[in-house]
Amino acid sequence: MQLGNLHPLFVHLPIGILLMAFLMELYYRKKPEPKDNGIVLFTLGIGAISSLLSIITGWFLGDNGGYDEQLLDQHRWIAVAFSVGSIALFFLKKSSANQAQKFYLPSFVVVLVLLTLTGHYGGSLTHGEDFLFATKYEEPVIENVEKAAVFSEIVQPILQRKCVSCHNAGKAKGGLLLESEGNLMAGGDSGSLLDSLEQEGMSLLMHRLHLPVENEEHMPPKGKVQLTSEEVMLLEWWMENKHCFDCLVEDLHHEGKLTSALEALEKDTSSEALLADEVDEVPEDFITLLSQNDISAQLVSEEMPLLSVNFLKRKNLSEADFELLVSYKENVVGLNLGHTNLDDELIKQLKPFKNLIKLQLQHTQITNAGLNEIKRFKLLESLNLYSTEVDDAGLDQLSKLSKLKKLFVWQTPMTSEGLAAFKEQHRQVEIQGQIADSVFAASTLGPPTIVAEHEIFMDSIQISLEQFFDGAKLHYVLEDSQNDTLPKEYTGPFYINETTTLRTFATLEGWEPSLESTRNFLKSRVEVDKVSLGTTPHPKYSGNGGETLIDYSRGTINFVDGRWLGFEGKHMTATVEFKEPTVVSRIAVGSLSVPTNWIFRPVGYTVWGSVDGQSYTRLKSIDLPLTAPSIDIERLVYDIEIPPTILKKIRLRVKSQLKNPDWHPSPGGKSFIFLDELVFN
Amino acid sequence: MSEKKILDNSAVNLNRRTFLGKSALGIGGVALGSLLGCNFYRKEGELLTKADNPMGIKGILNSPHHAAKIKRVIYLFQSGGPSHLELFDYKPLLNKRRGEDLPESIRNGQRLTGMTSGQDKFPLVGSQFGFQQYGKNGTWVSDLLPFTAKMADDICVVKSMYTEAINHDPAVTFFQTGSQQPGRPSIGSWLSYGLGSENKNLPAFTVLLSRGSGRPAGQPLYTRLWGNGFLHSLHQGVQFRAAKDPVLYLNDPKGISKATKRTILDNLAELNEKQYKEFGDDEIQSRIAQYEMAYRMQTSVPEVMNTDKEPDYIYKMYGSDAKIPGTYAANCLLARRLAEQDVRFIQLYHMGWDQHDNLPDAIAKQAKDVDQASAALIADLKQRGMLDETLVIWGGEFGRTNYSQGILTDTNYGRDHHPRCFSIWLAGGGIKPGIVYGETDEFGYNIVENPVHVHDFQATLLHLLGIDHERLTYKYQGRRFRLTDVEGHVVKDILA
Repeated sequence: MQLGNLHPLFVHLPIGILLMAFLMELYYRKKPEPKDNGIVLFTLGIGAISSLLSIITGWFLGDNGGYDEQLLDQHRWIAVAFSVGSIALFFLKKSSANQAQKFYLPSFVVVLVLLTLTGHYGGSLTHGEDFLFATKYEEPVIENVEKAAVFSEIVQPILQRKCVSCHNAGKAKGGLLLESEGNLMAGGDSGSLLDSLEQEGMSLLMHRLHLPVENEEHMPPKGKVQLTSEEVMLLEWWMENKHCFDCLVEDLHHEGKLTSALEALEKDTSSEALLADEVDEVPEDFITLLSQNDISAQLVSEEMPLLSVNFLKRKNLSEADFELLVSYKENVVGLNLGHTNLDDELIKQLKPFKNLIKLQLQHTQITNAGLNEIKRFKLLESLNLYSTEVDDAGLDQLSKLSKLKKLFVWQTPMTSEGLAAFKEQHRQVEIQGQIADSVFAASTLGPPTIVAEHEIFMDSIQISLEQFFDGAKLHYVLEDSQNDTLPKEYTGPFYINETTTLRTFATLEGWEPSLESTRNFLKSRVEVDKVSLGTTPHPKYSGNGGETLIDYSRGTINFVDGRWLGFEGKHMTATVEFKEPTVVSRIAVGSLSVPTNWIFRPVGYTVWGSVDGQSYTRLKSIDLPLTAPSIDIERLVYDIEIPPTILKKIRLRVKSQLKNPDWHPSPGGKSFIFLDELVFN
Repeated sequence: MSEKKILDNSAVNLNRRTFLGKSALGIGGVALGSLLGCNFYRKEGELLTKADNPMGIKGILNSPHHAAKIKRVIYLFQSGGPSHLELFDYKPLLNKRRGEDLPESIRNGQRLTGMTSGQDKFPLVGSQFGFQQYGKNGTWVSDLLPFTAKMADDICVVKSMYTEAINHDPAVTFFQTGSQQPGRPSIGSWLSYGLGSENKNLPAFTVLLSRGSGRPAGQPLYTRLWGNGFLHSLHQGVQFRAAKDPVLYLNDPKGISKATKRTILDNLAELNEKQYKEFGDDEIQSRIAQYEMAYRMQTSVPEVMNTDKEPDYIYKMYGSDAKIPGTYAANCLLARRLAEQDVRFIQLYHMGWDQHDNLPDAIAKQAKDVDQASAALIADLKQRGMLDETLVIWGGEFGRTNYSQGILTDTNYGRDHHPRCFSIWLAGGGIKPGIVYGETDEFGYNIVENPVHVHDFQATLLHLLGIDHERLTYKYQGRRFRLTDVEGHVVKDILA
């Protein structure tokens, strides 16, 4: 602790004690008998000691700086004189010499005068000069800074705070007054205040402000309270705008730091700010205590010791929880009781929390009766009643909440008539109910999911359809060789035993019908024993080797799913061996096209057949045109028809275009072909 | 081992960083440090053990710097760079001048990515999709976003975002951490560090990912995007996956009962506590806290993730995709559920917005993925009374060029990355609803009014949470770091 900080503790002692001594002196002089002077001497002694203590502590405090030096000097030396005087007084009283008796009373008067002066200068230091008599300048209150008058509400208050104590009608230092527009325009002994000085490029006002503090001409003088950088910035801005006396802030251009400085002048008139000035600080221990009891409390801000409290959806709230909170009931402005076990009984505990601004009661058991406890919360601005049993009658309870701005009423029994009537009487309240059905009326049902083990099958395959929503109707169409295109309603899993295209969609009351989902099911009549690849696939897209082509599972458009074989910059050859010699008339080849990723559809197919498994004859060769410029992603099945032949083995060559075409973003790069399945019929 | 030897060892058992830190303070420091359990070296704030902090992570700030407008953020990050020209920034001029070369006066030296820098022509191309005006202020919204359009009165579209990065990872990293280089904490980590968590059973920072159907095999995201950087690892984002185990390694192995687990954790904590006393590494405390959090999450996570009890009308809002785990719609629904549990920062990533080619088809799919669920999230929060205390952000890391990348055909084109302008939207507490902020030129290439830099965006986000972006700092490697680096201005014009 600074010794100087004790000064305020001691300064008042000599004042009281010495005055008391003087009064006692007068009293004993009038009183005939007995003349007991011992008590006066004792009082004087104590007074002298206390004046010494005040001097010592005051000396340190003065050295800390921050005071008007001129005033401090006066206070300090008069105080020294007074202190010396009070000690002298003690010895005068003690002395029995005649001379001393003669000087005693006049000296006492002098000491009291010194005491008064010291006190006055001391008061001026802490409370400001002219504290006693000056009519106090009332700072204007700015609510919206954009609409504030630049001179009278921003510039003048700065001058009042920092300059007028010397430049007023009483003192007029340098012949300059700064109390009005006229004063500023008139200037002082050094000439015009606002006109630009030629050699400085700025006005005398700004020049004096910008000089180094050590410079004698700097204003305010060294030792006086200086302007803050924001205040200088604001004055400078005003001067740059030709020291406009009638402008509003919004009339003059401002941005960045200047805007922040301007906004800082606004007085916060919100309920929170007003409350913050009245309530006590909340100790950190209290917040910790709450958190140990599963109550989350957060201070609103550094300047506002107000609490926003969350009961964290606890289902075990009891009166004890509120009793814990009640010690800082004035500080509680936000209370979230949503999803707790709050009911009409427990809500009675809210009564003391009359400063609540935001109250959340959603998903609780409260009813109209519960609102009785809160209907007199004068500051309440936001009330959440979503999913409670409060109804139209409950709304009447709210009519006294004059500050109410937001009311949440989704999933309550309130009627639209009741709410309309309430709104009619309380136009300032924004009522939030359910979002209109129309907003999401166009919500489309998801298509059914087609569940089948494979897309390629030997004899038959079971297919089931699934949908997420109970009650949804599923419809499907099977397009097979019989061209059966009538939609059927799905009742349970079914089988197909032909190559078929399945189209299906779902409907449900209140939803838009789903889009169709389709799936091709390919029947394979020929069982393949094994596939040996004549070309090595790219190591990243090598799937499960040759098996990949006959595993009955097709690849997706996500070409890294492991179900594709990818070949970079080369054609593909594969040899297929059947379990037994079989008549083959059609070969379906599944491929992929993703030009963006350098994957192009094959440009040709050549098929050789072998009856004995040794020698091959060419059965078919097809060349396809190059892909037209397109970057669409496609999954393709290409059917190759061959003359029906009994075959043991087939050799297939799939031609790649090898290079990216000219129109591609990377022309000439090694292009890919991707294959996933071979089906023989 | 003799007693003396053990003592000697504990003096050398310091990790490199601690050792260097301590030797800087002299040998006396080492001795004192090991005596006092290194309390002297603990970094600012960030103390927590289960004993002195039963509420989970405590923030370094005792209170917000100023009164907060919101309690939480749901950031719907559209990863890949959604084209502003097809979604929010209506530029009919581009349709009129389709195929013409981008004038040099407009490009004005903008650097290009390696993907189009080789192109000899830059043919302008307008949106293939129509635009209409919606809401009281007549906000232009693309036909691709019919549901978002209906919420036009609730959202604030910022058309004048810009960034400095031109490639995905630096650009996303810039948005999330304020720096293009990896290594800094992400927004959610800063919030966890600054404000702590309100729910002791869930992390303050959660992450949900979804793949876009417009480009299912698009760029991956690095987990460091939700990393804690130099902050305590306890502040890192926790990813919730769409799988049987939403959070990996959370559930107990078969045959381990809850009670056994408790005993294991208690004993482990005791050992770790000893270890902490010996080494004084803060990460040990962090680890203890994480074990405890994981234990509590064994019940809290399944509760949040189980959406079975959500009624059908909620699915009608979010769309039936919300029934499919891992979709954007399902994640939006989860985001609302996490918000109800007081999770402070809920980060969604929807991938696949990188339409270098095949844009019309792909962007239509992407828009369909996100449109309805994003609108539903706003509506759902609104009717629950949560929108005015939540900030919802929708946006990507940059925009796309006004010229076609690759060939421009009658029906097809692509767009490259474009950092100079792009559109995002914000909705919720403290944001002026129903406004459009900022303007781009007729070419949709340069900003002509009210530019908003990534750091401005971050400063504004922190401001809404009651944080002065210049004052939430962390000292590391000799300097104080903050999310907005050395820049950033709060965009006051969009604040309500």
